[in-house]
Amino acid sequence: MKVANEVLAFYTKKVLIFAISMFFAAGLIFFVISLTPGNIADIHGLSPTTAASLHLDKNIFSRFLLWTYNAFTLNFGPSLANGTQVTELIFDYAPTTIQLAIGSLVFSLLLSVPLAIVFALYPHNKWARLSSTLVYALSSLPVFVVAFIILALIFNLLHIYPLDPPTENAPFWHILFYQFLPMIVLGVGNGTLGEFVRLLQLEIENTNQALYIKSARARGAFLFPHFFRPVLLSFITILVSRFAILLGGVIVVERIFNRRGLGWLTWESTLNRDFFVLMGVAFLTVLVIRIFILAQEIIIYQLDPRRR
Amino acid sequence: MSYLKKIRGPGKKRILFGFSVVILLIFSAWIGPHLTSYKVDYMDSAHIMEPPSLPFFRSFLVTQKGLQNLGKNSGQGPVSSHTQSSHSPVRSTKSTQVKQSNEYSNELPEQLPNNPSTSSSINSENTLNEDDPYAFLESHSSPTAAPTKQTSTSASADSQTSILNSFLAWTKFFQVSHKHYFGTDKDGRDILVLLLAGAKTCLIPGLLVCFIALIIGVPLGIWSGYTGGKFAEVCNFFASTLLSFPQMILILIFICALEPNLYLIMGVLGLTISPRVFGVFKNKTELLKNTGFILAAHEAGLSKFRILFLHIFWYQCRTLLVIQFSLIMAESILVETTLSYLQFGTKPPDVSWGSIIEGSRMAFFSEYYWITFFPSLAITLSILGFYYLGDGLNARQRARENN
Repeated sequence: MKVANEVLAFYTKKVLIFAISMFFAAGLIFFVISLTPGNIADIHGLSPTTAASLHLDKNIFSRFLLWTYNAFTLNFGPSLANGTQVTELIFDYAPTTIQLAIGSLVFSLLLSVPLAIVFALYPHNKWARLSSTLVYALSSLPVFVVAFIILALIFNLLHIYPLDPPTENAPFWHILFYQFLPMIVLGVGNGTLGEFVRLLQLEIENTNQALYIKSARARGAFLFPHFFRPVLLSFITILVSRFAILLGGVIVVERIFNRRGLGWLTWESTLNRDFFVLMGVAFLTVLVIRIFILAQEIIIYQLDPRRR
Repeated sequence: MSYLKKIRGPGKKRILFGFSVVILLIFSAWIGPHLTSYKVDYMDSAHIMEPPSLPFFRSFLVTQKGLQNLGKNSGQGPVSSHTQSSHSPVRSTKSTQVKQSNEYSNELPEQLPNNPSTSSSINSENTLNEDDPYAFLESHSSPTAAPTKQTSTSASADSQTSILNSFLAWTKFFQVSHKHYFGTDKDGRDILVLLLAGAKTCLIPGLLVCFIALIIGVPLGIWSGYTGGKFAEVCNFFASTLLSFPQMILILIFICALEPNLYLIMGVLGLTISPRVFGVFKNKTELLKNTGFILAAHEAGLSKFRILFLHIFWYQCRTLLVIQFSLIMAESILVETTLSYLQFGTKPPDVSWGSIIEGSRMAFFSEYYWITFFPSLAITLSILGFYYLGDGLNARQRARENN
């Protein structure tokens, strides 16, 4: 009985913290936007009736409570630029971004796990050190520099221009690069790949020195299951902590490669001062990240009793 | 040299590299603002000038076949339709144009810049039309603006594989007094001077970011690590709330609400980085809290302030401070150039490396590659310099702790 109570208390605490921090995040978004000099209705030239229907004539605190309530029910109001509902806009633009984010995570996973294993197990190999230097150097660059370096290389070596959509008789490489180059750039740039490799490498090195690995090695056992659990746990932590930075990089990548996703929407709404769209996108992003963090805490709590 | 030999142990090369990059940046930030005035005859806004020392790089970066194939593989988008209609004819008539310009080069008057003050204005005004990315190339290969100084390089482009030609170009570097060692951009501005002027915009906001992030993160981290309890929990809560915002989106919210002022943006960036600094210093203090010398200092009746400031912060955490400083500097340069690329960062009178690249990003795929090659090299070097400085110091620190 006591154990069940502990688990219940843990879940209650985590969900409470989730709700309170979402409330604080909504407050941060709303009050920073309301720092705008002048009235939102005046900036966009709205008529008094429209402004009243958007509750713009009310007191700021009642507006905040109304907006927060609506935001938790995923109702962010209309876009100020073209009048469509923000939720519809987000659902239209989101698939591109989700595809991009998942693709880039898969790419950096596929690349970083073997690299981290090699770097951790052969620390004094000349080629391993050289390639680790290269990986860190490449991934510490900003996304647009990486993107244009790769694009220029492809342009000069393969003579294709992957920013253009491919035609029917375009070479196979063109279609491949057009589809996957944004994911590759997002997976490499902004420090994503370097961070993945470094943290996984550290975890594998620490696990490699543990006593149970040494005894398993002495017994001649198959080592993979012994490595799997600690590396998986740290990997979930890294994945969640990099996700926020990944969504920041999406803005630049979608600008470069002309993909209409959430990043493009954010950039466009910042230029147009389309406040409701920006607030909606920011709130939804924070919500997704907080849900991921909650899931990560619960998974780690379930998988590893020592961290309780 | 005897001083250099004293730097031993792991991370030596990384620290030296990072330190030299930092000195170079400080030097260029100091000298850059003094170089931004031009004499009229130094500028040539009609022509782009090639840097003298780069025929060797050119053979790597720009292949003639790549330029010829520019429009072949493209589809039916707005960009490509333009390419097929107008770009390939220009390329095919290129050789005849070169001959023409060779013949008439003596008759053409020297084109002086009409209005130097407008040409030395900012880069972001000259952004390329998105529907028409190759207008940049065409304007310089049209017969009316036939380049006079460009002819020799264009003619030699056909036989660029010849070793003798590239050797002659190398010797030319020593014979002729070139004024533009990194070439000029399409407004006749020297790339080297632009880079030197941009160093200031990347260094000083970075210092502001470091100041804000460290002054929030370090005291809160050390205090909540040492005392623990309710205070630490509240700090943790706010840190995790701030960390769940993507950096760029929080900055864009501030930009949307207020004027896009670079120093405001850098303040927000410092705020978003401070939770990470807080976490690092909190973990370090929690490790140190139960070590013997801190307990002894506590038993000896030293004040809490003295223990926290002198014994924990100054004796144990100052290397950590320098490491965090250089890592934050690297990140702030990254964010500053990215924001300038998105046209939210530096404003017109100032130059930023990101906005140079944004203003002529199609130059990556043209023969005028040096306009974007040198700024991206500068961004790469400065970020890597700070990153390796922090990394090398970290490696030394870890080695010292293990012994």
